[in-house]
Amino acid sequence: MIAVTGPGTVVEPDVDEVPETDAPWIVIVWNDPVNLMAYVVYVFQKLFGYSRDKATRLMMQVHHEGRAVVAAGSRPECEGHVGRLHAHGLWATLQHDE
Amino acid sequence: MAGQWWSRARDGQVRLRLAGTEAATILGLVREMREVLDGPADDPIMQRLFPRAYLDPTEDQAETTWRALAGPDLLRDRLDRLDRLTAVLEPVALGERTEAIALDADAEADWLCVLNDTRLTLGTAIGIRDDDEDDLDDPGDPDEMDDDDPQRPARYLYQVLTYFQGELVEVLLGSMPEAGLDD
Repeated sequence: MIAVTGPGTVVEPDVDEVPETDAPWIVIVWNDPVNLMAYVVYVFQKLFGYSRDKATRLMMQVHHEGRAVVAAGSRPECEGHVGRLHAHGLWATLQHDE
Repeated sequence: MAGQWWSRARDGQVRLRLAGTEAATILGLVREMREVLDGPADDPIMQRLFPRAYLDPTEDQAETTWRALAGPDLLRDRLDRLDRLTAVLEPVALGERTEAIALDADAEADWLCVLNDTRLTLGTAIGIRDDDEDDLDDPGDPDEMDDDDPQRPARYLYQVLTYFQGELVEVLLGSMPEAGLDD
């Protein structure tokens, strides 16, 4: 992801950020070189209702670690999340939480 | 909050100011986008716009089922967004409309998603690989490219689109509450 805003807006990633749930399926968003960092934050807030802080932490985790778990739930729920993320141009997959 | 193109008016609506030549450029991208969406599914750009939902090859059956269920709607939504933007852009490109364009929430989503798709399309086509400046294989900044580099115009266009979309995102984030789910 790339930033169009200047320096000073960088937030340190929270590496242990994983939604607390025992749901069996998880949604992963993968890093890509095109999507804007602020755009990814906006999409996380819009689709999942996350706070600006949480959306920013997840975005930074994707950016620095290459991936982040952004949601969890049943298989149909996660397929729905993946479809909405794809509609917004984010590279998302779902998998069984092991 | 007001930028070069996008602003939020006092009535709360997002406004877009676009010159005729700018509208014509975006219309060109919208038409290219439609050609990609009408083209073969194994095109690298199509694979970027419609990636797999399941990475695990043992989930191929689930992938096929998901694609059959969700795929047509995802494609239809993208085509509908292009149709709506075309209807807005054509009068501006033809010089028949010069006042700012007011956007409702649906139009905000149309612009945001189409601009992102055009950047994904252009970025895939010109081989944007890395956002880190230390990638020596990535030509990156068009200002640092040779004048006769055939990729330079596309790189410039990509850069301008990045600023254009970035400004819209800042306007939208500016009015989105900072509070929300946080565990």
